[in-house]
Amino acid sequence: MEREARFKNWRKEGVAYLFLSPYILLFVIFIVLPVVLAILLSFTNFNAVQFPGWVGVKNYVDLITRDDVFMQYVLPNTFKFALIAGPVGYILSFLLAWMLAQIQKGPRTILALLLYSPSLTAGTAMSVVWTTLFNGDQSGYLNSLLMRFDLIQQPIQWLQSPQYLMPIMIIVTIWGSMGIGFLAMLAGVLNINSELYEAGYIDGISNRFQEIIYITIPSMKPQMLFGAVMAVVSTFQAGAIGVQLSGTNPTPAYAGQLIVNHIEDYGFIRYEMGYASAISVILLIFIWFSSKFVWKIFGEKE
Amino acid sequence: MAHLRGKVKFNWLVVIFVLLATVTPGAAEKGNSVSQIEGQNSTTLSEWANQGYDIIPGVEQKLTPNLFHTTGGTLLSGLEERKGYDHVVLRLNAGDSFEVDYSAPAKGLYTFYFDYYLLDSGLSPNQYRVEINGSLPNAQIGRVDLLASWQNETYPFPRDRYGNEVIPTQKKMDQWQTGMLTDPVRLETQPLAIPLEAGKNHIKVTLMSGSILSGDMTISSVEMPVPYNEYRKSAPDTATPAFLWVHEAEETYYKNDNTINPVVNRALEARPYDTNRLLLNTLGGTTWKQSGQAVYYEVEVPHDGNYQIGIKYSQDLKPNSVVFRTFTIDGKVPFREMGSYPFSYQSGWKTEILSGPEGAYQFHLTKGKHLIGIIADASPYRGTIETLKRAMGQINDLTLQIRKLVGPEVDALRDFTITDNLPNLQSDLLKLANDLQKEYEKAVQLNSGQANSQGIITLETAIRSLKNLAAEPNKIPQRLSQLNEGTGSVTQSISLAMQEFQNQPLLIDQIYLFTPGEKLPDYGTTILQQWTEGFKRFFHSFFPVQKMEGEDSKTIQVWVNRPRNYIDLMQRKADEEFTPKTGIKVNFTMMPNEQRLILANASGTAPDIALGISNWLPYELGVRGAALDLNQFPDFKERTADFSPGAFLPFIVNDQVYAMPETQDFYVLFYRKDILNSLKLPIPDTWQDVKELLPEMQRYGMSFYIPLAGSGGMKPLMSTSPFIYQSGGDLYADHAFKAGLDSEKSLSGIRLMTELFTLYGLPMQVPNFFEHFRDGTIPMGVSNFATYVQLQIAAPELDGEWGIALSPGIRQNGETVRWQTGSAQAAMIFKSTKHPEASWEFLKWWESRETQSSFGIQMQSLYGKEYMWNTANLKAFQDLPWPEEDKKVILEQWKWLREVPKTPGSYYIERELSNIWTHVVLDGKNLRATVEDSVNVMNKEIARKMEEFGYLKNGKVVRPYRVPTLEEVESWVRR
Repeated sequence: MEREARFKNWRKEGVAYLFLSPYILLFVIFIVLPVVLAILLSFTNFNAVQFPGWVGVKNYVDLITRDDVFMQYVLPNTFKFALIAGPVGYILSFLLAWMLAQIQKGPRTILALLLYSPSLTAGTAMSVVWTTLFNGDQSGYLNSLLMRFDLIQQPIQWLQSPQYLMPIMIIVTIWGSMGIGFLAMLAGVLNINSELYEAGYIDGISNRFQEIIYITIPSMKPQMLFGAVMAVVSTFQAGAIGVQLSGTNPTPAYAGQLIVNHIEDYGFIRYEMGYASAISVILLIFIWFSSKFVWKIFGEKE
Repeated sequence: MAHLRGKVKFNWLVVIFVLLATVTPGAAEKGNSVSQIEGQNSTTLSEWANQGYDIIPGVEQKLTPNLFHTTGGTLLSGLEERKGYDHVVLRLNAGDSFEVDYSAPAKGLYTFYFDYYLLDSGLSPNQYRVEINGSLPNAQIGRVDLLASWQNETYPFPRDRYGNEVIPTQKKMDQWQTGMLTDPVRLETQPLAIPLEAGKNHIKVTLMSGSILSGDMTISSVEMPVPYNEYRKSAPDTATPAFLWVHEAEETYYKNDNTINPVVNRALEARPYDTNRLLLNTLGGTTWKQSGQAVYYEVEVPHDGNYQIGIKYSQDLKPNSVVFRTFTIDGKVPFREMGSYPFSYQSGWKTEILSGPEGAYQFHLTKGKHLIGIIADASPYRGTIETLKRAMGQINDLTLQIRKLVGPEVDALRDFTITDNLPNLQSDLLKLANDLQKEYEKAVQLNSGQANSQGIITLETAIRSLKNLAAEPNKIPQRLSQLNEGTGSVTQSISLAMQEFQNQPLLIDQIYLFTPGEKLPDYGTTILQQWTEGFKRFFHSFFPVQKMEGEDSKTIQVWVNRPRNYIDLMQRKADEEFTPKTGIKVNFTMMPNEQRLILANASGTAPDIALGISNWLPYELGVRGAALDLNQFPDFKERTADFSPGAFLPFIVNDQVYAMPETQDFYVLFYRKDILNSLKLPIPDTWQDVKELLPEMQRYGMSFYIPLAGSGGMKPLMSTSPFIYQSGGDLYADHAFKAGLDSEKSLSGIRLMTELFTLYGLPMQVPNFFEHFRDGTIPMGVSNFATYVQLQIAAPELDGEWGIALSPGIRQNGETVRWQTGSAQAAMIFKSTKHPEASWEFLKWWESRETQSSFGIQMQSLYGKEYMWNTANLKAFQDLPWPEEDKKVILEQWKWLREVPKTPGSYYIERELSNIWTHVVLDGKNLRATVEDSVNVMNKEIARKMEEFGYLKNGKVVRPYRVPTLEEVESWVRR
């Protein structure tokens, strides 16, 4: 009897699963499987050549207790980088999106494209531009400019000196952060019903700032959330930038070493894939918690 | 305002002068050493006439070798020895000379030619020098080329296994040739003239390089080609039976430069055409652009008569420019118009029938074989090029004078009135601009009135900036970089324009010789055809590439981390030489990224052999059990005799050896002879010498380069370890279970490598040593093979002005210790191979002296000096066509080759050593403290890694690890 009911149920819902199956299949193959594999590998000593052997939680213990570089440089760097580049890029995205929404369509489209293009251009092309600017030779633009105005005597090693690398990484990242989140926010601002503003003014809103706080932001919460999640994920995942700017992994004196660089370091330079997987699991956990946090702030509370 | 500082100032000027003078690019891109005569202009016939030397017609006097007085040469008379020459010949080696007396009928201009036979490979230039009555009447005859003739070894061209054509091996024709007095930069279409007095004249010919047999020398009149209308009148106007000769341009009879190559052109109009395969169906293009490069075709003419010549060509490499070709028939320019015939800019294919204002030219040919020569030709620009060169000299002088007045550091805020000291400055600059303007107009005229070619536009820019600068002469001190040295400066524009004028690329597809009225082949295409072909190719791209022969399981798979043209030749050599001998088939595959090897190994699809891989990879694979131990083969050790022992160090794990070195780098001292001479600086032998030289060099704004400044954030071991080894230190201690950087000796090495920057002010970041070396700001430095090749091919103006010497070292026990690394590429066998013996057999063949040297010679003869092959096989290296004196230095430096042995934790030592440098040099931290901190970190990582590989357990050594030493490798085999 129960069996029959189950069968009936299945017949009823089976079609739904059928329609879902393409997505589920792709999601499992490209998302679930790699994640599960990474988690599994993180408990092994896989070295990319030989068959992996089980080592239990050793990798995690090592990461917390033995990995000086991780604790001393990588974690602080990653948080510094994420906490500055993420929010600043995010706020900037919103402000620029809002400002663009105030002007006519023609120039808006052009400006939006211009702002969006840095995030489109491949990282390499981008760092070619920036490495020329910050070149440590006297032929680097910045050095050449400073020397011409007699502000410095010797060229500064912008990209090799530990104290300059991180700020430059942050600047370059912010420059390129008007990405998909920015476009979503632009769409969000444009989609707000203008009657809301009129109603707001009748109800006593007196300036643009109040407009933003009371109408614009509440009306585009989904886009704000999307932008924030994208910003968090992309800043945690950023890693290429420091390596591209300085030209090496590890970055000079680990000054620009982020988690992703650390993963690459272990995975492809030291051939310790198991350990690298453990770090990427930690990274996954970081991202997951930060997204939770962002949801808390911007998510719809029903 | 002009503050002179006596003697010091004087030295300074000399330097600047030298500096500026050497920025001038040379006229010839070819490797001829022409710089000595570069500044001087050729003497024209009219100038000779003013001095009373006229052309004396009707002279033809043969002088046989038994009349020669020779120094060093030997007369040979055996039939075998004289290579088929009909009487006695003279053998000359570099440095040998012969002298001969000739009594001229009258004072005047003559020329001479002589028969020669090249005895060496012909790859390096053979040059001689002529002196007339004890002097050089014409600077150009100080260096005359003896060219080789090159033939394709096979035609039709060989094909690779995919059916694509590959460039055939070039072979030197073993034959007697006639050498004219050509000018070294090949900017003259006619042989050079020599002035002789009436009566006895003394002619001395000295061979400067190479070795040759010399036959008869013939003194003759200077013959100028007649204008076409005279030529036409002299030829009988006979009725010629219809004839049409269509010849593929890529099928040359011979060429005077082995680097003129057939090229693939996939246009539908090109012949022969194949939809999917790559055919080498056209000739020239970028490989045929230097003035003087000639190709020759042989044609059998059926009847006496008058013929026309047509060339199917395309010239899209130099937009909006006219390029020139000189045509010869049987070695002579038939009439004046055939010297420097213009070909206009043509992006598609077009047939040019050689013609003048009155219609197509008629060439009178007799029945029988004739040789048609087509020579790349920049001679119409000769005058322009000479004026430009002179202008650069003048600007250099001016800059020098201004520098003399204002000093090396120009204060941007100061007002100068240099017109007080240089009253003519403005007029000089304007006159210069005026001269250039005239050349500009000439160039426009030569370019059939079009002013939009690259060269002409750059020249125009130069003129404009000159005029701008002249407008405010007192601003020039601050704007000196616009005049000279800077990017976009006047001198740079001029030298760019000069190079543009010298390049004469032309792509040709077919040659026609035909009687008037014949219809030439039609190659027009319709849009429909183009679409169909495009669609066919697109469709074809979905199918796997068809191989010509089936592959069976006995084939060894070789993955090569090199460009396609290397692999084509490797495959061909293996198919021709290795497979027939051993029966082992080899299949080469290009591997664009060596990281693939690791992934392939993990997925079980690794090849049998990998070539051209980085020298650290075999260790990483070997220590994880993926590489085959070569030491298991009984004849391995004897096979290492031809190699540098130090190159094996990174491949050894305990007793196993996981790879063989394949190519080898060298770190030697590059120096600018001209600058060192004028500053009277010695070539440094030790780092101490370098330190002593530096203040002197820095006073002239110059510096020294070491590879540490060339790498980015990470200073690799190849740039750091030499300092430690030279000072007697070691990277490892305690059998590689500890880092050895904190020993006193290692510390002194690290101190040296940081102090050079902190105390002696070496530039910390030099992204491009080559450019700084060229412009003279860094006239000395330690660098490698890449710089060497660049200097060979891309710095024609420095020809003969630079040299290499052994790397500086550290004096120890009366000897200068010069350890340097030599990391290049390696060859390894995978453990997963099913044919270990066959793979080893292949590796032995590939690494052998014969294969390596012939491969190196073939690469260089096919593609030129860009493809110099730095084989790790020392014996093979001796056979390569490199300059002898350089080979000697490199081989000597290779005796001091010491790679860093790898250990499980060595990458961490590399990294921390780099961090030490960063902390000390950039952060200004204390050396000893930094090293101590780093050593602690290193030891920790080493212990972790040793544990991973099972040498260490709970802090105790459970399995010994042995760091390989040089002595150990040396003991493998008696050298």
